[in-house]
Amino acid sequence: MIPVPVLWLHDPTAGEGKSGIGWQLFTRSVEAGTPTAYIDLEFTGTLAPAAADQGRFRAKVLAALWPGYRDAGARAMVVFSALDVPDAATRCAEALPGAVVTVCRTDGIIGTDADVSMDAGGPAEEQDDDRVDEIVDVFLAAAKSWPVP
Amino acid sequence: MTTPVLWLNGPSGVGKTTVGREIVAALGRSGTPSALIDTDMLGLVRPSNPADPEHHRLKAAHLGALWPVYRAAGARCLVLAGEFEDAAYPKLYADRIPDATVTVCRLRLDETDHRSRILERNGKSVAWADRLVADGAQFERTDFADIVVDTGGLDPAASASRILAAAGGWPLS
Repeated sequence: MIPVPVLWLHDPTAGEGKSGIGWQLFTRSVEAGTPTAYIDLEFTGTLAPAAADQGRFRAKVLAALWPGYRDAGARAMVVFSALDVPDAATRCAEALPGAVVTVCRTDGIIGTDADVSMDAGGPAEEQDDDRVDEIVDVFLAAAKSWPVP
Repeated sequence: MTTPVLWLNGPSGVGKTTVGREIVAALGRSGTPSALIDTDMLGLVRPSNPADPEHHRLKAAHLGALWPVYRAAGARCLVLAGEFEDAAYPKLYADRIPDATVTVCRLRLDETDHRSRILERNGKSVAWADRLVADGAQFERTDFADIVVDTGGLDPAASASRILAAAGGWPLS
């Protein structure tokens, strides 16, 4: 099975779906030559009333979308979530067989199943363009191997 | 059993997703579990496929894959937010949802309100706002919507109420 590098970004401060750090990580990955998909779990859809188990529901959303992106050529995926999903890496890996998940958090705590650790340098309170670039640089420097699993 | 689908169409910045969220929240509160899916978010892969440059086929396939997830979680009707200017697109997407009955609602604003809303919400440049307003003029020339709702001067909740009324009490019409 071909491994799927997934960068899961938890960023409670981001606004519109195509802005902020997640979008920049996506575009940087593409510019680096890796066909990449971007899934914004906040703006893809809404269910009302909300699903009782958000982690499980979001994992199903990922599982539904990844095959189409893979068939469209994607070889890596950036996932944005404003909601702090417990065990995000585990849930994601269960939904996507072969996924190698790196979890990035803008509060500076990074957990991963790919043995990467880094410090984002504090919260992204103001996501102006320079600040976003700076944080993305920190993320990518720390996750040296991403998107190569 | 049919699946009522309300498609909110219109130019960027007119408030499709914002109003869509209000609609599903209101329906959810009133006892109709509902889903909103933003079709513009279902085709974010780069580089693009030259054979599907706007990713409509990919997005339609993703809608077909995603709806069962929402359906299984309880949703009984679906609001779509997404931009299209060709009358053929609703069918392309709706064919992915079994027994869909689609109502297309075009949201509109006059140029002044549209420009103000873009600048207030996104903080984009005036040039960017002008481009989106010009896109809005293109939508004014389309004629395939089932209903057209002007949301000028309305907050999202009021816009949602106006849309549901204009759609004949959707989803129960």
